[in-house]
Amino acid sequence: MDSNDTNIGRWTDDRLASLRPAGEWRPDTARGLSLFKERRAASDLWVRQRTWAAGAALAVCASIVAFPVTRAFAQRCVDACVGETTRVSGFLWRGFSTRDTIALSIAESPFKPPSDRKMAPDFTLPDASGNAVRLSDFRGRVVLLNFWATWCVPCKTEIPWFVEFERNYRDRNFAVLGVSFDDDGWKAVKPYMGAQKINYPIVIGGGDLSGAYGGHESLPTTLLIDKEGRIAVIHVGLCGKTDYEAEIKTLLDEQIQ
Amino acid sequence: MGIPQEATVGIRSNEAQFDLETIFAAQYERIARVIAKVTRDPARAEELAVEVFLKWSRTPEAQGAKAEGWLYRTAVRIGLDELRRHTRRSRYESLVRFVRTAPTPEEVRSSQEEHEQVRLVLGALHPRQAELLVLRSDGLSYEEIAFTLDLNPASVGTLLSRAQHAFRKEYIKKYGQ
Repeated sequence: MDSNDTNIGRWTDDRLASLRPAGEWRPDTARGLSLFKERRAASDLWVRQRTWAAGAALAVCASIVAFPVTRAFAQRCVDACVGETTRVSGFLWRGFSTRDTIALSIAESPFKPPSDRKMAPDFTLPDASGNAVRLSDFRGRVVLLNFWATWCVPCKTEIPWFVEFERNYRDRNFAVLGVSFDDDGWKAVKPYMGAQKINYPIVIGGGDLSGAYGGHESLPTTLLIDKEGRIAVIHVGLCGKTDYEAEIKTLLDEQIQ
Repeated sequence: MGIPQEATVGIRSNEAQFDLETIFAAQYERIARVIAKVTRDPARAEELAVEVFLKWSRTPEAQGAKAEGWLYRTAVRIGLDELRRHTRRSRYESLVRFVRTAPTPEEVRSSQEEHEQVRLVLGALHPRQAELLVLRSDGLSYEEIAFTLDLNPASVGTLLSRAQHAFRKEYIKKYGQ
């Protein structure tokens, strides 16, 4: 340490020596201890209350999931929330419109007119039974192509909707095709298919397929393909059930040119 | 001035069962004093000292042999945080004041006092430098500073020297020689 450092050190010490509490004062330890005990008790009580509240919330959630009726009700609530949130965000984004709900949903979605649509890349992959599933074999039908995985929570929200769409619109030239991106392949997918009673074909996808479709890495990603095999809309992330339904109906009503 | 011996006896021992109240009684005064040194508000300092002990009682890894250093370090940090908060509040209040009134004679006198200037300079320094300076001004040796701030004792001298230079530079920038 040179003399300059020593001088600066001394100078700083002189300044810092002025730091002291105002006036004559001695901390009151007894009062501090009493305040400490009081606050500690209040803090413990708050932690206990929070634990009870978390436990009660967990119990309510468990009982909702335990019974099919309450589970279905909760599922409907989630569907309604997703739909309403999409609608409200669309309303805030685009401003007030007097169009009806379905038209509004379509207008706000990235729904392409027929002239702007590109052909969906074809692929052939085996389904759960080992039969080859070729996308081009679905030509003439509207196809909902869903990229998903069993570990993806939003994907699992959408799957019951797709089961319902398959059941309701199958007779109107509509088909759902699921492409799972589970690393464990059929080992993870087959039990889930059984549990969810999935009524449409599922294939296992890979990096090539994802790359062919523009490298969409987010799950779920859902495409609606028109009757001529062209991509009409791509939804990345969770979308509202009513939006899907409106788009399917629009595509089903389109005339093949 | 160093760390009072009688205050540390019960803490440095590795007794599994530590007595919260004994440690509180042994350390509270020193903790409140170091906070008051920075904030210059005894009532607030006592309140903040209780906060330090509450934090400590909820931090299991701070108990046992490390308790003393942890309490002292946290007290200095809390005191400096309070000082910065106070400085920020004063600045915002002066910004939103629509009609600027002339400062009262008390405000003028206070702003010219050295302790007020030192506090403002400390609040403007890097927190670690301010901590070093406060601990040093409280009479702690290099070893005690290293123990409190969990530093290598060999680097305390260099860090302290840098902090002193930074303090002087900031002081001269604000108030001249």
